[in-house]
Amino acid sequence: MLLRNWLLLVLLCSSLCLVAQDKGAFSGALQTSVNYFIKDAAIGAINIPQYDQGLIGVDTWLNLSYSFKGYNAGVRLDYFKNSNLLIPTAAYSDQGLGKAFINKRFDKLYVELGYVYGQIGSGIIFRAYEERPLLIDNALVGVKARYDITDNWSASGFVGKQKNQFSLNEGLIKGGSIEGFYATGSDDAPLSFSPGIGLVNRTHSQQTVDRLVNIVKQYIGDERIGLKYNTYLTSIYNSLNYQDLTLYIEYAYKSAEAFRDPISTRTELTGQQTFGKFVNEPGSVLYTSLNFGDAKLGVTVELKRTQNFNFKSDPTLTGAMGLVGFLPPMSRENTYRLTSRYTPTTQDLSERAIQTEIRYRHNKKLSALANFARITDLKDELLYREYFLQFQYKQKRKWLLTAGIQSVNYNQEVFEVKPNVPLVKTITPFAEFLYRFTNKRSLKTEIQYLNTDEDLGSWVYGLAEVGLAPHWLFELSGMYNIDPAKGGDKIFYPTLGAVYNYKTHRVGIRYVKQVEGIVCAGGICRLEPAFSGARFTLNSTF
Amino acid sequence: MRKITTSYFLVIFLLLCSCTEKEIIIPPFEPIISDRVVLVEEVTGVRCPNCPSGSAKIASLIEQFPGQVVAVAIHGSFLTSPYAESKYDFRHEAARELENYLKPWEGKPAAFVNRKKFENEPLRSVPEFDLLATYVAQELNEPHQLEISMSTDYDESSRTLEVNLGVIPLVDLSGEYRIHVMLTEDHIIDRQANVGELIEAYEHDHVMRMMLTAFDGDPFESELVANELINTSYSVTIPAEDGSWVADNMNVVVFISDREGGEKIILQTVEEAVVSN
Repeated sequence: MLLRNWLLLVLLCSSLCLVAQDKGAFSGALQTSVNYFIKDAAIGAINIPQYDQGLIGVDTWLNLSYSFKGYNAGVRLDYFKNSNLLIPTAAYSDQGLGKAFINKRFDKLYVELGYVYGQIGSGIIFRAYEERPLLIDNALVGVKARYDITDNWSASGFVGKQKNQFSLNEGLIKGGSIEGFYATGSDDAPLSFSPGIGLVNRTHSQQTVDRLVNIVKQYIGDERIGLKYNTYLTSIYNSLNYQDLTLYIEYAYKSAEAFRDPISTRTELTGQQTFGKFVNEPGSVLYTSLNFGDAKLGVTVELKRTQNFNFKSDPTLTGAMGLVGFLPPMSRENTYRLTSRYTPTTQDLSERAIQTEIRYRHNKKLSALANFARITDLKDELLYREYFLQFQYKQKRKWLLTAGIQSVNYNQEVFEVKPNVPLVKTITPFAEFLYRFTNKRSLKTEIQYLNTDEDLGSWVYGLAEVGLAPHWLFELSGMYNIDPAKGGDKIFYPTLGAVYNYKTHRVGIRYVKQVEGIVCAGGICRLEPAFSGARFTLNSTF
Repeated sequence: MRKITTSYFLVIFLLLCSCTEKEIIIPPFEPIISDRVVLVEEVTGVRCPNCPSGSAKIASLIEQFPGQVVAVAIHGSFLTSPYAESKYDFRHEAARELENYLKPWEGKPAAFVNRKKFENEPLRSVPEFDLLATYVAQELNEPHQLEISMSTDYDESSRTLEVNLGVIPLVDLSGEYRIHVMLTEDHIIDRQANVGELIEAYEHDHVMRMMLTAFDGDPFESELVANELINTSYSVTIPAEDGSWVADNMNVVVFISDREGGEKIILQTVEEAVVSN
């Protein structure tokens, strides 16, 4: 099977290259990572096959695309061997065609066939996208089209089945949207609207219905729920722009459908109450963001209310598999190691959230940023609260100092399903100093300290990164639980790495010890076990 | 603009018309007549908050299919380290090895029905426990190919247990068969994580305490002839009681699997109490 795929690739590549010599444009991208797992019981890097059986994990994506006379076509070949991306505690091996598409614009009509991506509004009712760090790729395998009704108005539609690695999820998904742009006001006070309306329908396959029937059949008496083949979603949204102000608002509604609620209880035949039950409820999301920005001041306020909005191509799929929509995350996307240690997972059944960010630029040298986020469930139980303050001072192009402090309250019991654990309360001061010796040589240092009495206790983190442009980057960092909670051991988690860049190619190798924690990508988060080993990465475009 | 609005509401109207879809009829459960006995293995742990719900669903399964389901709870590695306040440690080498052997599974709890991969399940493990009854029913409807009979002889003073087995193929069979013998224990009262709480006096049932064979079974015959009885026996000394290892609460679970083609499918299971009534 693998051989056949690679032969297909070689043939395709050869034929495309030959044609490319004629007129078209051929391009490609290769991303690969190789993980060498080194067992380390002290940090919990054990008990998954990669450690126990001394396996090497490989993840590879090879994109090839070709454009010719307005036609664009491409394929992506995926290869996974003992990968820990799909299920962090298991070894996943498979390979095949990850994507194939062809698209073309015919005057006002754009048509695409194959593995199609896209979203409606902010993606709440439909978003087909790829997030490689979590091995999410929920493209629709089908067709999509967009027609420009006027210069400012367009209508689009799509139909297909959702991709699930190398197979398709059950359930036919179809939908569409009408989006437009309307400008008014004066030159001094321009006012514009970008309204849109979207519709999505999912029809269960007979197999999915049979599975749901078999599940619901176990429910006793009044706990039984009704089931239907079809679910409908609609969203209405608008972006209003007035001078420096932008107001976006979206309301999404989902008709009643059967979905799994992990905290609903049901009665077993033995009379025992157990958690986890399918319920049949409608859902809704209200999301709004207000942005104001000028040369000195920028303000963003976001609000979101979510109720029963777990929508999947097949509701019996677990985890992040089968998600059709995307709920915008309502906390800051932190980049430092310790400020991102406790990141909230978006709650799709019950969430009320507010986030505010203020950016102030005092002058060319000094700027500041403040962020506040508060997330509760609909019963007002606190799930997450963050205060974040950061200053940045830039001395021409010579050096840059970034320093700040973060305070987080994190409901570990909900986000990580750990029973009877207290709210994790942290205070994390951090600083980063970047110094440029010459145009080609730089040194970046980071120091962070996370103080908490909960979870695994307090941590300190330090990093030194030497840049020798344009080719080399060397990194040495370490994370140390300076004050472990619950009588744990003081363990040092070092990372040592080097990256080499050459034109459009990037090769990296790192030795990593990484503590167990939440890993987020694009707003989707999951708990991943500790990692110990070496990582080789290659990114190349051509 | 008017055309666009009209088109949108026309589409909405058409979709709403189709919303009058009738609800699907849920058929009642009907018992299945079969001589097969299905093994349901649960990978679990004392620190797994969703596991008590999983165990309760397996208890329902046993009630729903009386005499047709045997349950085993495997406390291997993940989420199994005892609390400081725990009285017992359910972990042992065979459980660890078996938990690894059954991988991949997405998380705990996960259950295995005759170690078979069912259509539409991405893995052998079944994360949705409400589907277990469906898969058990499917297995019960499969042809019955092999019968196992068992008798136990337990000496209370020496705590020695003799397990005598007779295997009778009902049809000619060819494969890579293995025999598995386990000791399980019910009614162990100890701490257990649950959703939002810790249960101090949780009753742990079907806990796999030891294996009398290798964790992946001992080699058995590869050619089984219909109606030709094969006898074998195992013996073990049960460890001294420490609040657990209570012989009256223990069971012997025996099953035969076929590993041909890289599979692990179980053909038949039998369970007997260590102490016969």
